[in-house]
Amino acid sequence: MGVLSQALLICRKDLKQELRTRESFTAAFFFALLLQVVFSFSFDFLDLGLDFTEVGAGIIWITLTFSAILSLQNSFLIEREKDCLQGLALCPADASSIYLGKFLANTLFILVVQAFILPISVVFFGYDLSAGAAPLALVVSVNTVGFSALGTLFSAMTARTRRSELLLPLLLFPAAMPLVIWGVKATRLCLAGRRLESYGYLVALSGCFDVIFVVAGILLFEYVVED
Amino acid sequence: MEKVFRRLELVLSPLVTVLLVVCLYRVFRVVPNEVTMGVVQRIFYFHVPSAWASFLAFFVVFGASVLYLATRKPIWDTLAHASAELGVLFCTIVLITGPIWARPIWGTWWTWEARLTTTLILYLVYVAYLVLRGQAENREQEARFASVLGIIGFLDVPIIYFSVRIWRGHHPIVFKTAGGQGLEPVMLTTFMLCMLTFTLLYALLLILRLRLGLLRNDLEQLREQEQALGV
Amino acid sequence: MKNLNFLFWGYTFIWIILAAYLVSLSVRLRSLSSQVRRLKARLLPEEERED
Repeated sequence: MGVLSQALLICRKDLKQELRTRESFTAAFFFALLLQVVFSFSFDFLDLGLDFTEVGAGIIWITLTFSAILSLQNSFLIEREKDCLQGLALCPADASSIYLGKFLANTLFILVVQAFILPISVVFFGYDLSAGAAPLALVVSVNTVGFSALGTLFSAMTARTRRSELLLPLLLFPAAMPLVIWGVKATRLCLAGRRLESYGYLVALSGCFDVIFVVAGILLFEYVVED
Repeated sequence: MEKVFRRLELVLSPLVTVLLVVCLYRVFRVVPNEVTMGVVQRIFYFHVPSAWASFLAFFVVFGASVLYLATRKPIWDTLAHASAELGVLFCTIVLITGPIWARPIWGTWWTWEARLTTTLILYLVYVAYLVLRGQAENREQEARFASVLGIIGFLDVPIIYFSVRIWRGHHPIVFKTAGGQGLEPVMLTTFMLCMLTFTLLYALLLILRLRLGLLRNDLEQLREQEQALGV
Repeated sequence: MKNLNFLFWGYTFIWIILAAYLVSLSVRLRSLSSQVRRLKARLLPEEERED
């Protein structure tokens, strides 16, 4: 069985589980929703006369990253609770396929939550996304891939430590900072109505980040799951 | 091992001490005043070498992490831990002297300038590294996880710097003396001397910290023996 | 000499941080050495008894 087909199998297993329980989606989605409400009070756009395009990128990205962390934490926590981690390590699948499968599943879960949250944020904050919807989707997707690549690796590590809830954000945010920096800048330009050409380089940079750290994840994951 | 370390310590300690004194003398008595920034600019002579030392330390963490995963010899893990601690130490120095230098020059304690921001993010990455080490289930897992993080963290270093540069734009700091010629040779030699001094200082502290780490390994081995004998 | 204050505090902090670290190192070294010594003393006679 090829690495890719093994990975897809593992991805499907996670998907089936999630479709059954919807744990991860519920937690991440409602947390993101809550954040949006808090932000609407923290930055009273009408009162302050703020243009959403000025601070909106930051609000969007804080919401996306923090809710993504919840999804990622859940990804290996389930295995830990059901003691499946050892099962995973013993199964004949290559460590890299486990990583790829988990990474694909995580990316998918996070993207689904984002697909729900972004339209809701349009409603909450009343900004215009008609022209920018596709570029924004691109920016968000590319950066999510990188966040998930690092997050899957780190989540596997921290799930087996004490204080795992504290450790994952502590590890992931500094390491994924470039994605946040580039994502926010690109989103800001996108919301301001600029054309994709002007911020395309930021998407390309995020893409490079994605490639580097997916490869790193594939190479290093075996050291995380061995027992 | 111990003997080699003792001998190195004996050689390095007086050498580093003398070099530090010489550097201080040069920084405060020999080097001319910088035209735009005045006296405060002299912090640069210890600020930048500290940044270099922390970068060197993190590189050593990277190397030792790779070697540990390849060979599984505990010495490499001990080295990685020691170097990470030193990296955080020198990073702390950079993050404290940076604002102290910035305040009189730019009027604000902190500025999200490219290099300071990068140092701060790096600091967070390696502090997280040290925290992770404390939370693992067992020694072997700790070594493995820390090695993975040590590799990822260092791969991230240039990317983080690059991303912050793009975000912030480049703030060039040009040094001029009264002659207006840019970096004067006196300043350059003093600077290079400080760089050398801090490199040796890092080496000395590394040996001391390595001794500590090896001692800890010994202690653990003895504890295992103690348990095995059922004492 | 403007800003001499900042210069002074800049270097002072460097010394404080380095000194604090050296103190921490020596304290930890001493504590670990004594623990190792005590354990060795306890284990050695035990081992002899085992033999």
